[in-house]
Amino acid sequence: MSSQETMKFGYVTYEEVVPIASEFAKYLEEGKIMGNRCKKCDTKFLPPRSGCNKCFSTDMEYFEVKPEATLRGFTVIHFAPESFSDKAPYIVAVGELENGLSVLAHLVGVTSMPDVGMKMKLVPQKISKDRIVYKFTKA
Amino acid sequence: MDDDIVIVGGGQSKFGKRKGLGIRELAFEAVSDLMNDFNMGIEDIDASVIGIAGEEFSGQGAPAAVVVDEIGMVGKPTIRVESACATGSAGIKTAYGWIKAGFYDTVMVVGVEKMTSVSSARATELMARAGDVRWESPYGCSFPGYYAIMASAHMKEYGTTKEMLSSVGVKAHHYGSLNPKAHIQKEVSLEEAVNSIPIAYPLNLYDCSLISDGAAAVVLTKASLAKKYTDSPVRIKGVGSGSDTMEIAHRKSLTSLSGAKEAARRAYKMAGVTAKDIDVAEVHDCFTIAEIIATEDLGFFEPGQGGPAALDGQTYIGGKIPINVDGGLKSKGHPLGATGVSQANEIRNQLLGKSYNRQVEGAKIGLSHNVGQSGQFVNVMIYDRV
Ligand SMILES: [Zn+2]
Repeated sequence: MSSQETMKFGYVTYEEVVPIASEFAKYLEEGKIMGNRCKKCDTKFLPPRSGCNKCFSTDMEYFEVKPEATLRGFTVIHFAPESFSDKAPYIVAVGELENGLSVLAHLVGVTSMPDVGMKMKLVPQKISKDRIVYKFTKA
Repeated sequence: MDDDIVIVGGGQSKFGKRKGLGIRELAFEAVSDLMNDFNMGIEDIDASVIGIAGEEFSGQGAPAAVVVDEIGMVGKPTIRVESACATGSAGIKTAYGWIKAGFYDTVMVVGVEKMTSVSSARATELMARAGDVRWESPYGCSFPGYYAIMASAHMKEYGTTKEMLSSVGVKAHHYGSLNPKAHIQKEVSLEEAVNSIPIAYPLNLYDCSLISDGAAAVVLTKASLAKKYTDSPVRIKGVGSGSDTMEIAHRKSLTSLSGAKEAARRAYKMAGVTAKDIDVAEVHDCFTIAEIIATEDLGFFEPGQGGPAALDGQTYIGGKIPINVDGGLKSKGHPLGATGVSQANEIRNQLLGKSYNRQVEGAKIGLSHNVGQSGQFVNVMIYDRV
């Protein structure tokens, strides 16, 4: 894969894009949210990690995460970090998926103040030619 | 006899938008203030620990060295420590460990930050990068945003209201108005606070700590050597620390900081006291929700009762537990590296009866709670008169 084709995760990139992050982004492009698990001790990670922090095995395998999520907490960012100034206001939410996995992402498509506990879906969304994110939408 | 570690000197610069002062001048001002009631000179201090959270704010790379030079500690052992907003207490803990290890007898800790030379949007950007830059910062979650997420969960789980949050800010401004070293000396009404501009819902302007310049300093030594330096040492009776997941989404609870509970448990155990024994506390109120959660994590109130207790005035002087009666991070200000050191200095002043018109009468045991990022670093310390 050439560098021009490397898919990046997120609106902004602050660090070198490492394989585990670009692989994850590539799966998102295919419409899949992939966590990974340690083949040795079965610890699950979302987003995926390059090694297991329980047993230090690097023998990992991907698994697909179901998109159903529950809202655990949220905020509406009005005063944004410099690189997001033109996007505010936007909702940042934490949602719980299956197996106790939980991620932070934008929540879009809601017209009134979200209610903690509400059902959501986590969906990949391409935001430019080489950038992709996952977002929560109302279920 | 195993020697206790005591604080024998403390000082603080004025916090605020200190135009015309860099980190070195700010540190100098704090150490000068310390020297006012210190019986020895800078030459009688063996080593220094310098707490600075970020060099991007001040522009100086490896910033501790300019501070060491400015305060006359060149040639003596030094170290820079960084634990985000818990940098100051990390510095104190480092000095504590050095003395306990027998490396040095007497160590100065200076915490300093120069934050206002960059724009508020830039400062917000720099602080947001203390979130996980791979998975969470790319969504533009500001630092207030992380605590706002906790606030929304706390409101849902316990019925905490925006009024309860705002009441914490009102108290902060009340005591800040009495503290000449506070960034802002201005009372704010509950109505003003509730209706102030939104920063990160449900947090408004008056729910968020200030972006400030400032420095604070303390000197630690062994109890057996204390009287060389001061007639009134304050003992560090307990120290406890904890940490938490980098990604806020990975926390089991969004209504409590597990690292703070662990830090408190360890500090209380080491000091041999419980929450009921604490007469005055400095807690890390980077946001109003953070103070409410802190008062619950520290055991002053049951989970969910921190909000009602704040609204009821239980955290004012005369209430169940006076909290942040120097104005806290909200009104005194929050120069990242200085905050934890300033907390220790404030508790020292309270235990020595030197807090003037905001003195907690008869305070014998004090506590400080200093949190880095959104709970990734926590240090809790307990202090008493020797
Ligand atoms: Zn494993």
